[in-house]
Amino acid sequence: MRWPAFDAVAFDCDSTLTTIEGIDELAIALGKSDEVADLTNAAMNGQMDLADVYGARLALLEPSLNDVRGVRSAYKKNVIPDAKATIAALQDHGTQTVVVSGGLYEPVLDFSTWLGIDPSNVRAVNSEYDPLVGDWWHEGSDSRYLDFHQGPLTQTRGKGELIEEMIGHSRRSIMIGDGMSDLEAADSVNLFVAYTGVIDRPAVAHVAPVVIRSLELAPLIALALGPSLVAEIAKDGAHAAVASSCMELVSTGALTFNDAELGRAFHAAVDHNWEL
Amino acid sequence: MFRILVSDKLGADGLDLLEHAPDVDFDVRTGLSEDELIEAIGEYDGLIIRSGTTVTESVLAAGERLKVVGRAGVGIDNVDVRAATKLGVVVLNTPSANTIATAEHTMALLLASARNVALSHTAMADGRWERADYVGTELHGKTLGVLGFGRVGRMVSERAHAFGMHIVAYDPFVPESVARETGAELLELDDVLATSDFVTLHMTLTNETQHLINKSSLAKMKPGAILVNAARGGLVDEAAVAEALDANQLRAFGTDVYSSEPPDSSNPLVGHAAVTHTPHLGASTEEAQRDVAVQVAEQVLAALRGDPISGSVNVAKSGGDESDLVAPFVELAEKIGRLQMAMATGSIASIEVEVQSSSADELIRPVAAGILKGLLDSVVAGRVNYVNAPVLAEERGIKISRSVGVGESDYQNMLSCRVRWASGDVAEANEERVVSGAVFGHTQARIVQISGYAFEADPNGFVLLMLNNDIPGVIGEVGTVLGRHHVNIAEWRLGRDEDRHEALSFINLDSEPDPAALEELRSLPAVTKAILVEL
Repeated sequence: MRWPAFDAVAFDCDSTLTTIEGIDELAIALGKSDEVADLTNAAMNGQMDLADVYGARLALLEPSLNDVRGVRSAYKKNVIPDAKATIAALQDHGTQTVVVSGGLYEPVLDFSTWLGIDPSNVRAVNSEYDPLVGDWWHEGSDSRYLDFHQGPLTQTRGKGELIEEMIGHSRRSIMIGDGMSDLEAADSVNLFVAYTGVIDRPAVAHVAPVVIRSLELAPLIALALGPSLVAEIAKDGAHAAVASSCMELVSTGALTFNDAELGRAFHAAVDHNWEL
Repeated sequence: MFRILVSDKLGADGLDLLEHAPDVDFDVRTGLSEDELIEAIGEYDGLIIRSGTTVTESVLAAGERLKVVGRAGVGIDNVDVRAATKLGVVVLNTPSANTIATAEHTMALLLASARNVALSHTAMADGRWERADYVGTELHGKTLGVLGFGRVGRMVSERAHAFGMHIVAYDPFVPESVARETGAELLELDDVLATSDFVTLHMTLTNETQHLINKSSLAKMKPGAILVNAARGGLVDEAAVAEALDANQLRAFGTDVYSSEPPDSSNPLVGHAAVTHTPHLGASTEEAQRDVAVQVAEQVLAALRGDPISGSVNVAKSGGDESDLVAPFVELAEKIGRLQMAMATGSIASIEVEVQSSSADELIRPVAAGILKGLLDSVVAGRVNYVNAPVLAEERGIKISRSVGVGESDYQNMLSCRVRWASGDVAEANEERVVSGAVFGHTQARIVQISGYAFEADPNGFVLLMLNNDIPGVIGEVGTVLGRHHVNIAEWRLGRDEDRHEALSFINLDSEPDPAALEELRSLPAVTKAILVEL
């Protein structure tokens, strides 16, 4: 049985490549966790529009550019352990890897670059910083603050549109993420993969055709490259470890399929190629 | 003639440069006490120092003509920059001239510490041939931790890379892409300490970095690691380093800098059997000494002559590479500030600035400083320049911000400024005015819009701004009045509001009209307002 490989994988960032949410880290760093949690709850309880809450939280935090940049280290510290290896395995087998995030651009870009993703393959919320704040006339002054009066603090374009811009229409693509905004991009890709390793959102996991239930991202490479290639690279070479981990996780149930037909096709390919 | 005082020893090439400048007269007077400096400084426009002279607030205040202090070298701890900024005195240094010298000295300390060069040299000079005692360790294949990935840190990385070292770095503010280009991996501080065989410091000394290397950070380092410091003495807790060396936690320490210099006899590192030390020689190469002297002389001259300078620490600067738009934009900004002030209808409540240009991010800060200078020049007693205008504005509670959508036009390089005016007891701004200008072909500046009236006017010399009824005969009447007062009209630009039958005239005059001429103009029935401004 053949499982056709995919040309590109789009990753969500927060709670998918890293266990944290950037905005929460920013709130902790600025000592305003409680206030931000209140806003989040207000949104959850329906007192506030979900679309507005991200911007509202940032407006409350008023982070400086350096505060925002600092989120990078939290991202890196809490990286999903095999994210780097998974991305490297995909890239070395010709799969384009991109990141689409609703987080702030600077830390998402730095974190993605660190993971080995080309900067041109990263999209996040590009915000303006007011350059005329604090001791702005002094050398090295980087007390620029996020300017929430200017421009949207949330993505004006959906993740689907951003993915199409980076990957193109004609190529077979996967989107992997944990949230509703990721699910909304499902129509723009050939396969949507729900990732519940950090946060299990039933609203997403129940409708996704396939779900990764492990903390590890390795099962993704079986979906993206196909079981046959994974068995091949597990034998030796630079990606043997992540490929072996993938095979073990898949055989112990880390992938579950809501789309039964898709599941049958995948398992047929697994049975045909893997000696289990 | 600019007068410059050189109060520390300066390299001969720098002095040569001053000697050959036709517009400069300079004195070299080293070893002055603060009182002597205060006594002397009043007659100088520029002051050139190294680390020997301390420029206090009193010195700056006594420098009535003083426009610039130039430091040959990097550290400006010996200059009260805050006071200088307030007084409008440019402070500049030469940060790039020492980079190679410092990076090379770091390599020298790394190698000398790894191979016991200095220690075995001392033994041999004492007549001992102790080959077995000085078995070294190789750089090749080892991990170098670079704390601070600025200019020097990156240059050290490049060199260490050539020695076959793996580079990890800590710098919270450097983009990941920069690290990737140089083949270094950015890690958290603790991870750098834990994985490095050699650690080298390249940070500036701040409250946050003071004693960055202390008992607890030393405990996080690999046992037997080698530490090198060619940056600032205060970065390390010297007692803790000595303890770590004694306990063999650190294998060796190579240092060029000390908490106090020269270090006093109680410094536990001086003469320590595992320390390679040099007396702050990082910048002491013939090349660096020449370069700092030449650079500081060039920069001080540029500052005095009003040419663009690159190394200033207290002038609002463009964010990126110096764009050739900066100078014309800043000049235009100042003129827009002057025009705004000439038309003031109250006190300034707030200022919004918009730069429309592909270099907007680079231009915004210098432009904001220019606008503030133009606005404050006529109302603040004493010196107002690009250096102190932002501080003067802050002291007066004037809020300036960047904005979008202030100017409605599609010029390629446009600058707009909205001032909201408050009058009397009304705290709320009750009037506002937008003035826009554009730069053409990188040099030609034009005012393109005032309060919605569009035209392209030359912002130079004496300008008569006139609000008048847009009816036949006005130009003739105004021309007649000016002619009678012997004032020649060079240009007449007119913006019209066809709905209200009003026009705003921007009239360039060849000479200054006398007050009587202005009175006469204002009394013309068709003229609502007439304001004279010199740009």
